[in-house]
Amino acid sequence: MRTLVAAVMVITTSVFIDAQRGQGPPAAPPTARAAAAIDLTGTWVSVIHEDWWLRMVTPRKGDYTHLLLTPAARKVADAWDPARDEAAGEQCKGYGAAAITRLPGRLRITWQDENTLKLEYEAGNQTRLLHFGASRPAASPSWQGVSVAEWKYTAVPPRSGELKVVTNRLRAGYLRKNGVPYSTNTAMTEYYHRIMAPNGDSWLTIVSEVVDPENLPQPFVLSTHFKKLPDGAAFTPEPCSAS
Amino acid sequence: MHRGGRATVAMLGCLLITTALGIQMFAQASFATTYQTTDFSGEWWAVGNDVPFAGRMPFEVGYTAELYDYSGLPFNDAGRARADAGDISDWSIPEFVCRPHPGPYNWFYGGGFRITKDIDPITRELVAYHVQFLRSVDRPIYMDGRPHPPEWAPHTWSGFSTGRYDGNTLVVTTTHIRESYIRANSALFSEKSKFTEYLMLDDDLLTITTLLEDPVYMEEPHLQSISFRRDLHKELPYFPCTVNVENVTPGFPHFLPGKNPYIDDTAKMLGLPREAIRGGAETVYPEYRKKLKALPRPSSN
Repeated sequence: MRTLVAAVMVITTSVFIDAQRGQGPPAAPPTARAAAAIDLTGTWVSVIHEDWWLRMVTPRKGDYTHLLLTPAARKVADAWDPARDEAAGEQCKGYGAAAITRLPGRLRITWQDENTLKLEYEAGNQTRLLHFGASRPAASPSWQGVSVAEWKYTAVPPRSGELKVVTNRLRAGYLRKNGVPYSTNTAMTEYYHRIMAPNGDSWLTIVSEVVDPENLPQPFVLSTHFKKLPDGAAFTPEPCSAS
Repeated sequence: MHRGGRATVAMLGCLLITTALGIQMFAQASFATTYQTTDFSGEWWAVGNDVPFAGRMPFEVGYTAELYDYSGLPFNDAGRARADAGDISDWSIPEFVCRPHPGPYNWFYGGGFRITKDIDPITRELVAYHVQFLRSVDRPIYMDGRPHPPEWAPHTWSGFSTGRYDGNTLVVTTTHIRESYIRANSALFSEKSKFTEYLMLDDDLLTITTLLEDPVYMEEPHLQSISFRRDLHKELPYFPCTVNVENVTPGFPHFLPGKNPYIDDTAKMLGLPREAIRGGAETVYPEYRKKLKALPRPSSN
């Protein structure tokens, strides 16, 4: 009899505990920082293994290597005049979100708050904010636009993953510093991957897809690499330059 | 059954029920896995490759590489010397005319490829991926945990590859690969090279990053990437390469040290300093731009 009583108590206790789990106010969802699939924070340096002569120097006027442009875009690019851009205060046209990842320099990533990643670039002294969660209010077009981010987790444990970022509300700028245009209707999707090299180096690979039917007949896809620097690495922003 | 036996049975029954009720607790547990987290099999086609010389294809790799352009390569002196000695016409000799592209470089040549899976019919475990390109030999990537062969084992065009999953990423390690090109000119990696490739799937976009460690020709690792989309309407064509031994010049095309007359042609064409496109680790970091501005520009042809 005592055995039976003990058995009933064990079952009852288990059921009671389970019932407790379903009561009370729902727990607040974890912040983006707490739920991060990967740690992107730190200072990273772009390593120019690809497209070296398109990135380490400003490409010559009319050099559209890799780019398939609409006739309208080619006409605009052919008329590129860096002195005119400088005079008009438009020297940051080549430093917008659709182009800045490809520019040489360091990238510093920090959490601005629990749901906003801040990306600071030496190139052009630019800053991007990646917002997690609810959609953002409408904003005027700007060089860095509005970016909405979400973690993409692995389907099976252990949990890791990638960061996906969608950016729009961009002010019209240059996809390449030599005047190749992108419009204010441009949409850019990025995927941030962190990979480990056998020698212990940590790399950030950013895959970006730029869609701008006005200037690009097909999506423009690039991937760009940054290497992690030790804590306290120098970070020296550079002003925008039209040439 | 005596009283103690009934008690034992009752307690075991309770534990079983309790376990069943609390099973969701264990569903959240984290555990290491070796099974596939992402399926990379299928037919893939390079993004932006519909129009020659446009889209993603990097200028310095694939079929658009300029001769003796090492810009962006962390070459050391040995790497430069080896590449300077190369003559692209070595493709004409019978031994090389049907030379397959080296495995980890093949992603960058353009076009598409096929990845198939080798599944154990009994255990249904993923034994290997197989990668096939237009101009390649079959390239297995073993997923069953087998070790790489000893260093003295033969080296091949595709090398010996093993893979593992790191989250959603497939990480492939390749050794035992023959000396071959990292760029579609005479820039080579040595047979001591080790490649690590990262296959990453983002929505419908497959990006492959290759990391080359070459202790003979490079000062530090070299990375490059390319992206593809799954294409359900492409078929990988047959590539019937035939060795033609007619009109073959005897000997192996090459240049002796200091005798290559074409070294500076690309620098002149691009209007860039000669030193800049000779490569080297220093040249691939942003600080090099200051030095670059001070270097003399070549006079054009």
